Amino acid sequence: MLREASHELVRTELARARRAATMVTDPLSAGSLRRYIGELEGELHRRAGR
Amino acid sequence: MTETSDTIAPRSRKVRVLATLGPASDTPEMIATLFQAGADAFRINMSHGDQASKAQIIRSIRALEEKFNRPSTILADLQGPKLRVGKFDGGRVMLEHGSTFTLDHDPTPGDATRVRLPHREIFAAIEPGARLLLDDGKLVLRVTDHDENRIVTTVEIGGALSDNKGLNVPDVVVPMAALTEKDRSDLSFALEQGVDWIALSFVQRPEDLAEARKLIQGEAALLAKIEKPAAIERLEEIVEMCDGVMVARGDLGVELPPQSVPPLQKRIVETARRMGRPVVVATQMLESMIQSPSPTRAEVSDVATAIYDGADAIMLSAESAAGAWPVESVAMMNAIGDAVERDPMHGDRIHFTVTRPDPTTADALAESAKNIAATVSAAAIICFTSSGSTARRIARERPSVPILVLTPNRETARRLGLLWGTHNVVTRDVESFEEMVAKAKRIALRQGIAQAGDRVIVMAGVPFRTPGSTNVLHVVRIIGDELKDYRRE
Repeated sequence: MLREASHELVRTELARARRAATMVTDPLSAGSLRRYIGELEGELHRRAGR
Repeated sequence: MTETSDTIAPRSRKVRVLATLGPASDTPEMIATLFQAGADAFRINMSHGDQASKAQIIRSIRALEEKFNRPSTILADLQGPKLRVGKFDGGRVMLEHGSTFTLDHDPTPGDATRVRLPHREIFAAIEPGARLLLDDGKLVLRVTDHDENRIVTTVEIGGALSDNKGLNVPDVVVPMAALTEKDRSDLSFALEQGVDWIALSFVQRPEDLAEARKLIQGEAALLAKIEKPAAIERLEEIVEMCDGVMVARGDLGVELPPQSVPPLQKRIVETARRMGRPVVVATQMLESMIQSPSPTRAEVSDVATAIYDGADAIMLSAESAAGAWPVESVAMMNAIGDAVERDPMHGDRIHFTVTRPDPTTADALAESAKNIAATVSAAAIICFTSSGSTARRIARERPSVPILVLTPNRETARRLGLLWGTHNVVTRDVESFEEMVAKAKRIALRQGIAQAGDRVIVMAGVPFRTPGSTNVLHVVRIIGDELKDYRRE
């Protein structure tokens, strides 16, 4: 996911998702956002390892 | 579309007008006329029509950029998981008050006792006592019993019901996918066409937006339409996950009592402004102008209220898309915006909403720019921005002067077309502080935003060409060589 996006965009998305996650109380939403954050972190790690 | 010469003066009003295009307004000539009448951005409703006709409309809007030397802004509004009942034998039935009416999976045409409901998710989520609203709330059913194959209801408010009418389920959260197959196809098409904003309908949860963001990949900004009670309960989470918000009062007013919509509108506008996201107020703003060349006084007051609340944009729906008076509707929005913003109380009223700056250099400078502009009677705030972030921060402060946005990115200039108070110009990036100041002065003069002798405030980030580095605020008077050569690029 976001493989085509710029590095800056992925970082911005990650910051946004983390902020949203701090507001969420619903467990289903929290789980979904955690997965999204994991995907974004994974993408950043992938790029860092390239 | 680089900045060269004026062919149309910058808008004097700060609120933006978003006009929906449709059969009444989608020819190239009419789109140009709407733009000249005051439309700042155009909405394409993906619920109607085919993709080929939408591509032609998008080409016509982009042609404005050459004609008027101004970035154009396009919002593609996805249909979303709109719930609808199936068809009836004869196309129409009459539901009697107090009668029993069942919704099921049977594809055969319905009658006065039953109809197909092609959304299995509702059968699992519904509860006895919940209401089902049909045809924009004109008919009301109350659930008495249900299982996985049928929902039995009593008709509380009856009336005529015809094929494929809309259904609202206000009392339960239906776990619908945020994007239908049609939405995914329309989204892919819209991104291929290079639209600037994608509007997501019936948002209920922040993960709805996360799903859309994965698909959009930064190719467009994402606007969340707030039209479900569930979204109201989770407003801040949703606003955080989007780039802009629409107060979609149509379905909101169906699922909630109409008298609860005005306070919710104020709450949504306030939340979006506080969190620095542009907010559009939409639906039935000048409804009577679908048929009449002039609005009711109440409609004018409604539009004015949205402007006094500090909304970034006000939207026309059927008035400009399918009405008899599309140009007059846009001109009326334009006139109301001008009149309200000339009111000496306007500035005080829009600052009822306190937009506390985030603890960042860029936010501190944006807040300072607003205050300095008022103190030294500056003519404009001029900002250099790559992503548009600095422009959004300044606009959030709702300064009393125009915001001239200079960006090397055409996409940024286009997206900012929904933002309060900005005039957006695409221009080459600057390399030095001296070049920054000179360019700011030249373009302000050329665009007619400042005159000789005026003070302007210039904001940028040093080192140049580094996104997110806004750290310079410079107050400069428009004197010097730029007065002689400002017409040259």
